[in-house]
Formats: sequence, C-alpha cells, structure tokens
Amino acid sequence: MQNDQRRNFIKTMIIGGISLQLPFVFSCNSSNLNIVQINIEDKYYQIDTLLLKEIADILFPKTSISPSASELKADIYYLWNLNDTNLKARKRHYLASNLSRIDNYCKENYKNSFIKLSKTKKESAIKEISLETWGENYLSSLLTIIIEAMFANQIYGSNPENIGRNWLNFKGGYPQPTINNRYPEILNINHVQNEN
Amino acid sequence: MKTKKIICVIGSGAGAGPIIYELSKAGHKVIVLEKGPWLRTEDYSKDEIAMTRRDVVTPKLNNEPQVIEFQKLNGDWEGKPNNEGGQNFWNGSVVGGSSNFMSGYFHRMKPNDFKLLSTYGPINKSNVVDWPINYEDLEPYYDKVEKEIGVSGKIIKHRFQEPRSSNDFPYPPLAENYVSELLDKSANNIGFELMPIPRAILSKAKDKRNACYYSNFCGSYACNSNAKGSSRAALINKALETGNVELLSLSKVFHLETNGKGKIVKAHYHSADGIDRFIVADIFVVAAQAIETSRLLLLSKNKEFPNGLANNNSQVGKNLIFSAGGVGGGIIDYNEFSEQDAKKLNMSGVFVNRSLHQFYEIEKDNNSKIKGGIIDFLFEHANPIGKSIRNKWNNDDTILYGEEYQKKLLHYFTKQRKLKFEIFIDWQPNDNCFVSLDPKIKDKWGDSVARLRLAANTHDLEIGEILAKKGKAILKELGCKDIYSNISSYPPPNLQAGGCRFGTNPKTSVLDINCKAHDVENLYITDGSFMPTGGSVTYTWTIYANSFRVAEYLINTL
Repeated sequence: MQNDQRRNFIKTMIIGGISLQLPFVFSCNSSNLNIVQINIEDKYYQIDTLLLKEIADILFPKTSISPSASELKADIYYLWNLNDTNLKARKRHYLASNLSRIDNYCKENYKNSFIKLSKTKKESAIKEISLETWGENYLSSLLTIIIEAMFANQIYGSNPENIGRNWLNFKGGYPQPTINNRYPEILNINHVQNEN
Repeated sequence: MKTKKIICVIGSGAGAGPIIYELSKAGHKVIVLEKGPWLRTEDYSKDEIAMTRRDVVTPKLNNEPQVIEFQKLNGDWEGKPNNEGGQNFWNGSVVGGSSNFMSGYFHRMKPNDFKLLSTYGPINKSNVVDWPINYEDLEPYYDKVEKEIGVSGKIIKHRFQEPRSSNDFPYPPLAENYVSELLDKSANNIGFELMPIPRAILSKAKDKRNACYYSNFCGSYACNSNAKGSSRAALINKALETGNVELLSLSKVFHLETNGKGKIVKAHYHSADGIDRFIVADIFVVAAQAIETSRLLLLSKNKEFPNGLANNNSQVGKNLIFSAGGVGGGIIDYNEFSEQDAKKLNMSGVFVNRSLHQFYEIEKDNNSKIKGGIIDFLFEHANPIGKSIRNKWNNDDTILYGEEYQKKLLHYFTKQRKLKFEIFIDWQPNDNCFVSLDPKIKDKWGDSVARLRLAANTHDLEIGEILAKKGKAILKELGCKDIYSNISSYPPPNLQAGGCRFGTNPKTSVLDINCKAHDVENLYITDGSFMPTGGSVTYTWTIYANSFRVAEYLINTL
C-alpha cells in the first residue's frame, strides 16, 4: 500500500462504528467504514467487516434457539485474532487472505460480489465453497473463531452479557479471568522472590 | 547435618519439588532454575481461551520448536519441526511445571511393574527390563506422597491392590457423581469390579491449602484452592518458607559445565534479562521433564563428555517411553433416565473416579499371562470450546454449520453427557523411540532443539484393543449410546518418561540406583527420565515418590 493511502486509513481510525468496539489500534478506510486495515508483518490487508459478518451469520445464524455470530460479536473477535501478534503469523495471514477469496469465488461464479447476492444465493455459495478443500478449511477456521467468541469471557470483547453461554446453559468455571490475567496479559506475569 | 551444601535444581515440577522441599528443610541452600515464569495461584483462572486455546503455559513453538521424526515409505526417518504442525511435547513451562495442570489421577505402580521382564518374559523388539529396585523399596515414598502431597481416596481390597504400609488414604474420597454408582452396578452385572481412583486432590484442607471446591475445570487448569497437589502448591510454597530456597524463574539452563574430572561445577542459563549467567553448586539435580532433561545432557557435551554429559555409553535419550493406550467413550442420553436421575447425572464438578484393575494381567490361551493395564473412567472435559469444535462435523466428515449445527450443540450440551474411559498400558521401550539433538534447527537462543523419534511397538496396540473391549462392555451395560474406542500408537505428550534409565550396568543405563549419573560425581536426575518402564499407570505419583527417595539419599549422604 502506498504511504498516502496508509495515511488516509490512519486519519480516519476513530470514525467507524466498529472502531469503538475494537480492543486494539487499527485503521478504517474513510470511504468505506466497513473496511478495516490490518497490518500483519508489514503486509496490509483490507478486511471487509460487512462481508465477514454476513459469512459468519450464515455459519452461525440468528435462530429461535441461538444468537447469531454477529450478536456474539464474532467479527470483533476475528479482527482481534488477526491483530494478535502472539498468534502464528502464518495463521493470521491465512485468516486475513481467505476472506476475500470467498468474495472472489462469488464474483467468478455468480458474477457479483457476495454482499450483493440474494440470501439464497449467499447460502448456496457458502455451501459450494464448503465442499472445496480450501473453502472447508477456511470456513472451519472461521467457525472455530465463532465458537471461541461464543464461550469467551466478555473481557475478550465478544459474548456480550454471556448470551453465547446462556443459550447452552453453560456456567463457566470460577474464578473467571480479569483484565489483569486474561490472554495476552497473563503472558507478562512473572513474580520474583521477595517482590513485596 | 555436617556441612551446608548448595543444591542447584533445574526444573520445578513433580520431579523437582520433593528435592527442593526436603533439602531446603534439611538446611541446605537450594537454587531453583525454572525456564518458565512464576505464576501464583491467584494469577490463574478458568479461562479456556488462555489455558487451552493459546500458548500461555508452554513456549511458542516458533521460538522453541521440537523436531518430530516420521517414517517414510522406504523406511527412512525424516524430521519436521512441530512449529510447522504436529504434536507439541512441551508441558507446563511455569513454576511447578505440568503438575499444575494435571488431573491428579494417582496410581501406584504395582509390584510386578518393577520386574516386567522376569515376570512376563521378553517382548519382540522391546527393550523391556526389570527395575534395579523393587516395589518394596519405593513403597515408603508412595506412602509419603499420600501424606505430603495429599492423596484422597478409599482402599477396597482387590486382587491387584498394591501392598501398603498405611491402611487407607489420609484424605477421604472426593464427592462423586451419580454415574459412579451406575458404573459400579454395570460393571458388577457383567462380572467386573471397579475401584475408586485415588486423586492428588485434597478433600479436606491441609496446612495453607484449601479443600477441593469442585470447579469442574481441573485437568489443564491450575487449581484455585491449592487442593490439587502440584509441586508448587504442595511443596515449593512450603520450601520457600524455610528461607533456604532461591527460585529463579525465566531461567533456561543450556549447559552443565564439568571440571574435567567428572564433576559439574556450573549450570549456565539464559536469564530473564537476556544475559547468560551461571550458578555454582555442589550438587546438580535435573528435572526438566524427560525430553528436555535428555536434551540438556546432550547439549552439555565437552572434551570430557564428547557425546553429551553422562553419555559416554551412548544411553542418554534412549528408551524414551510414554503412557500407551487410548481412549473410548459413549453418550448418556438423559431421555433414558428419570428427570431426577438426569439432573444428578448432569451435576457438574463432582467426579467419576472409577477404575478397572481387573485386567492388569491378561490370561492367554495357554494359561500363561501377559501384562495388561488399567482403565480410568471420567466425564468428558467441561471445556465448551473443545466440545463444540469436535461437533462441527457431519458423519460424512463435511463441515456442519447453520441451524443444524446449533441444534446439535443444544442437544449435546443439555440433553446428554459423554462418559469416557482412558486406557493405560505399558509403552514398550524400543530402539526407535528416543531423543537426540537436531543437527539444524535451533531455538530462539541458538541452542539445538530436541529431535524425537517416537515409534510404538505393535504389542501395545494389541493390548490396548483387549482393554478397550472391557471398557466398552461396561458402557454398553450402563446403556450408553454411540460407544467408541480409539487405540493409538501416538504418544501422549503429557505422559513422558525414560531417556536416562537407572540401572546397575553403566553400559545399559545412565543413572545408578540412586539416580546419580554413573559418569558424573554430582549429577542427579529426578524427573521421569529414570524410569526403564512405566507401568500401566500415569507417572506422576511414581515420579514424586522416587524424588522423595533420592532426596532422602542425598540428605543422608551430604
């Protein structure tokens, strides 16, 4: 990405609605606030959060028994994963690059971007993609992230008001993490002898 | 005491704890070098993200990979670093080691486990041997573990009950789920008898440790009441009170320096501030868990020990062993029970704690006997993320998503419960299961990483299948659905031992009967590395007991 484009992202970083929910520094595109820019090892990815939400909500929709992926804030959790430098860079590149691959599939096979397809066609596209090896692998990874978001303590930015745990009557164990010993803060804990 | 000595202990898990505790109590100066950070009880929580989904208590594999060998079709072995995929053999790199995260299923080895070769005879392509000590030699220390670490349970006499110097456990059994009663009945119906499983978990308070509060998140998590008998909670915290312990965390030992006369003079370590430092001591005790212990000795080669410390007979790293066996399970469908019984079965936190010892020996057609193993019964771990991930597949292995997936989850979490069993049998030590140093791959400090060849003996798979049938029969009698078993030749990474066998012959063992290196005047190894065979049980109780035995020897001889 060119430097001026990068600046365009950075100057608008506090505008987007999603920005207020993200627990890390990032940037938004001023012309499309659904686009979030993520830097992984100096490679910039533009993540279309609307595309992400819609795909996630097909994998985990709002139904009579369950909240949806977007209600679980799985998209926020996904972006946090992309930005987590403790995760393997290879995994982060994988998550960042394969989202747009779904859109590319739709442009190639449905002659339109995923977002613009009808609900039925979106579901058909995801079904077809799930039968491709790359597609199944990516959707499986995305579903795993949705699952993590569903059961994570709210301090991770997902699972608001425990809606992800409550619908399955899952209580969690005690004590729950705090902002002091959650991941990745726990990685910085190391006591020394006679520290008091 | 004659003179105060300085003891340098490398590692702080179950093999290290008794040494740290006993020698500091005896007035010696103990310096502990632990590669991981020092987390205290209050630092841990029941956070599935941190404790099981991220590398929080184990190193990042990109920084500290291990190389796992696999056998190609032409028979050659090829290595692949596990940061590119594959099993991770790091366990609990924190103060207290992996004992923080054990489930605390505690079994003693049985008398015949100390003499497998002479009792059951040789096994093809197995390096099985008798131990140089007997059960009777270790029994007082098993007993000591019950009291010092704290073991809860109840003795019911049976054919394979180990001889004991105490009548019963010092702590009564932990509370049990209704399913334990059902398991007992089901087993009895088909002529089996289940025994309560001793647990290294306090059912009543001890010293400054509280009793178990049935958190439902025990294995893989540190205990927040200190009821679990980790090396940290049960021993190191008390050892620190003596004022004789210096505990250095984030201190990774990479070389043991000798004086040219068969004696270690310094332990060199990478310290937390990035500077390499060293400790001078009289005695060096290594307990870094089996794989890393062998690696450290191999890394410590010099003119005196060109093949690695204590390795002049090329035995270091050889005969690595694991707990062999597999798992099985079945579904308890609440619809098959009354509402009241279903509620009892659904009760979380309380334990199953049942074990089948009856097939510790297996009769063969010709009236001879072969060594079998034991089966522990337990509920599926409560981790919801793990459960949900395992359920995201259709029967045809395509991905399941959408409302159908949600329905499956809702049923899985609220209408049934998975009852599991774990099979423990001997892993046959063999020529293709060992630790060496990888010639190319280095860790973040530039030290050669462990290279692991991990072949199993087909004998172990045959025994595992025999036992799996017994476990499945009990679940069937109980009325479980979807019963399965999976006997695997993959080694469980958290149950590792061997690599520095003890024995009387220096040509076939690394350590003598007291776990001192044959070739080195002041080197002791007290993690599971010393074990020539592992018995058909988890190792932790035996590791604790042996470490107490070596501690007593050191106190008597220093």
